[in-house]
Amino acid sequence: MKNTHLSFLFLVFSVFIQCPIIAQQTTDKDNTATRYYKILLNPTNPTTYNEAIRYYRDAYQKNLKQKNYSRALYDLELLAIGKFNIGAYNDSEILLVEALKLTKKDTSQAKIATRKRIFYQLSLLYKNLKAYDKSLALQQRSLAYAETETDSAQIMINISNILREQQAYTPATDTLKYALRQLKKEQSDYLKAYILDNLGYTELLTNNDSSLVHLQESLWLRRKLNDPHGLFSNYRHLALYHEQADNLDSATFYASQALDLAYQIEDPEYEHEALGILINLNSDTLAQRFKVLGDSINAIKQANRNTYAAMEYDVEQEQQKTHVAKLESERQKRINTVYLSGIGLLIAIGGGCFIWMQQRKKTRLLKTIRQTEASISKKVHDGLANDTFQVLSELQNLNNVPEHILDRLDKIYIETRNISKDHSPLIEGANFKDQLTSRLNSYKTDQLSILTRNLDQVDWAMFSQLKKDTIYMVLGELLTNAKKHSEAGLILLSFETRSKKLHINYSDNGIGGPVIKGNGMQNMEFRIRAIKGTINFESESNKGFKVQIVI
Amino acid sequence: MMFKKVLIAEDLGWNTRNIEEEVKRLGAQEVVISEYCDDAYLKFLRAMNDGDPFDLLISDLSFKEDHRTQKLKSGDELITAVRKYQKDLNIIVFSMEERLQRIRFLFEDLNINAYVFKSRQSLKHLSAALDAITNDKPYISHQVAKALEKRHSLDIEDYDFVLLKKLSIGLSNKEVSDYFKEHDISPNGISSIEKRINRLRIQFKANNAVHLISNAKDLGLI
Repeated sequence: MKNTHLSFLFLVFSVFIQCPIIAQQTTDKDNTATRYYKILLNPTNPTTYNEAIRYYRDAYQKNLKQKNYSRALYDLELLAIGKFNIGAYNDSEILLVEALKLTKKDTSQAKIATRKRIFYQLSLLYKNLKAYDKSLALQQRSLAYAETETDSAQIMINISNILREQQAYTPATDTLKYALRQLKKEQSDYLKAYILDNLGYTELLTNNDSSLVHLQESLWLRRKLNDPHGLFSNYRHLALYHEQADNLDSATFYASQALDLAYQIEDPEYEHEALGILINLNSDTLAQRFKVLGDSINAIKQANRNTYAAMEYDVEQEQQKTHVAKLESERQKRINTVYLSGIGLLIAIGGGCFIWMQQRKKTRLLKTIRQTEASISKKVHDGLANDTFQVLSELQNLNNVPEHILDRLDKIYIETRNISKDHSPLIEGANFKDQLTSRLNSYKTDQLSILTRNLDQVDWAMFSQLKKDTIYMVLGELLTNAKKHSEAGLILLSFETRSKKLHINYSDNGIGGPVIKGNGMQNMEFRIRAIKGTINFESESNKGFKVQIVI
Repeated sequence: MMFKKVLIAEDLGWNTRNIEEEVKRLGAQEVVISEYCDDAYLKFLRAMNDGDPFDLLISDLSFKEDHRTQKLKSGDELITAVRKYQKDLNIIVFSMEERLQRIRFLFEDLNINAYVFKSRQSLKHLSAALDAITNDKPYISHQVAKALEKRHSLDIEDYDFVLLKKLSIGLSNKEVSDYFKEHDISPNGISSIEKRINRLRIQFKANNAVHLISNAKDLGLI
C-alpha cells in the first residue's frame, strides 16, 4: 500500500517537472512529431508506441548525421522517457548514458539544461530500479548544474523523495527543510507548497508532530493558488495524518474533501485513491477486505503489465528487424517502380508521338484532299465548263438550232460551273469574312433572299484554315443545293460562338422534304466530321429545311 | 472606235473567233490572238518596243495547262505584268470566274476596265463592255455584278432583330416607337420605324407585316 502512495506521488511530481521543459521544445515541431511525442510520454497502444519509437530513432540518426546535436539529444531524451514509461529501464539507461556522452558535443546554450534533465531522468530510473545510491548521486550531480533556486529546490525534492524511499527519513526532512530555506519569500509559492506538502508527509511517516503544521501551511498556500492537484495531495496527506492520530472524524472530513476534488478533477485515479482512504477509515471489514484484495490484484496486474511491457519491447525489436527487411524490399520495389514508370513514360511518349503523328497525317491527308478537290474543281472549270461554253457559243452562231437545246446546254454549263464552284478553295490570303460574305452574296437573286445573323461578330482568327475551308465549302454546298432544289425564297444563316465552338444554323422557307439530292449530304457530313464537328439535317415537308452545324 | 489594235489571250479557239469577229465588227483594225499567257506577254512587249502598242487586251483568267511550261499561268498574272508597263491599257476580262471576291480584286487592284462573264449573252455583254469603255465607264456582266455593289453585309442588325421581336409580340408601330424611346434606341420615330419595316419586308420577301413576322419565325430568327 505504501508503494501505491509513492507511485502516486511520483505521478504528481512528474507532471510537474517533466512535461513543461520538453513541451517548450516541441512548439515548432510538426503534427506527427507532436503526436509521437505525446505517445511516448503516455504510451497506450503498442503499435503506435513502436511507430513513435521508430520515428524518433530515425530522427535521432538523421540529426546525428547532420551534426545537429541539440536535436539529436532531444530525440534521445524522448526515446529514453518512452522506454522508461513502458518499464524498459535498461534500454532507457543505455539511451540516457548515450545522451549524456552526446552533451559533450553539444555546443548550444541549452546544454546544461539538457544535462540536468538527463541526470533527473537517470535518477528516476535508478530510483525505480531501487538503486537508490546511484540515483542519489545523480541528483547530487545535477544539483551542481542548478542555476536558480527553483532548479536546486526541484532537485532537492527529488533527493528527498529518494531518501524517503530508502526510509532515510531524517536526511529526507533535512533536505526538504534546506530547500525551503533556499526559496526566497514571495517567490514560487507553488514550489513552497510542494516542499511543505512533501515535508509534512515525510514527517508524518516518522510520527513527527510538525507534520500537521507543514501540511496545513501547504494547504493554505494551495488554496491561495487554487491548485486542485496540489490540494488533493494535501487532503490526502491530512487524512492520512488524522488517521494515524486516530482522529477519525477529521480524517473522514479530509478524505471526503479529497473525494470531492477527485470528482472535480474528473480523474478516476484520484477518485480511486480518495475512496481507498475512506474505506480504510470505515469500520466495514468487508469493504476493507475488498480494498486489500483489490490492491493486491492491482499489484499483480502491475507486475504483469511490466512483463507485458518487456514482451512488447521484444516484439518491437522483432518489428524493427522486419522493418529493416521491409525497407529493403521497399527499396527493391522502388527500383522496380523506377523501371516500370520509365517504361510507362516511354509508352506515354510513344503514344503521344503516335497520336501526334496520326493527327499530322490526318491534317496532311485533309490538305491533300483539299488540293485534289481544288485541282478537280479547276479541271471541271477550265475543261468541262469551258468546253460546254464553247459548244454553246458555236451552236449559237449556227442557224436553226432549236432554243430548247441551247437551254439544255446552258443548264449543263451552269451545272458544271456549280460543281466547280462547290469544290473551289478559298482564295489564299484574302479576308475570310469578306470571302464568305461574297460567296453567300453570289447566291442572292431577286427570287432568293439570303440573310445572316451575327456573321460579322464571329472571330474567325479562332479557327484554323482547315476549319474555315470547311465552313466555306459546306455553306456553299448548302446554298447550291437550296437554290437548285428547295424552292426557298428565304435563307437564314445564324452564327453563334459558344465555349470556343461555332454553331451555324441554316434554315429556309422552302418545300422541305428530302431536298439534298445525291451525295451532297454525305459530302457535307464527311467534310464536317473530318474536322471533328457535327452536322444535323432536319427536314419536314412544307416546313422548310434546317441544318445545325457545330465546329 | 478607239480600239485599233487588240490583243486577245484565250485558249479556246471558237470563243476567240467570236470575239475577234465582234471587235472587228466594232472597228478594230488589227487583232492579235494568243493561246498562252507568256506568248501574249511577249507580243505585248514587242508591240510596245516597236512603238505601236495595243489599245486593248481581252483576256481569260484560266488557261489549260499543257506540256509547255508557262511563267505566267493565269490571266491575273498576265494583267499584273502588262500593267507595270502600260498603266492606261484598256483591259477586258472574259471569264467564267464567278467568285465575287476575285472579280472585285481584278477591278480594285489590277484596274481592269470591264468584266464579261462567259454565258449565252457574253457577246452582247462584250459589245456593251466596249461601249462602256469608250465612254470611260466600267462594265460588269449582270451575273456577277454584286462584286462591285456596295459591300453591305448580309447580317440582320440588332436593331432590326429587336424591332422584329417587338412586332412579333403584337406591338404596334407606335408602341415600338415608345419602347425604343424609352430604351434610347434610335431611330425611334414612327416614320423611321415604318421605313425599316418596309426594308425588312423586302429582305424577308413578305407582303405585309404579318407575313414578315411569320417568315422571321419560320426561319427561327425570332
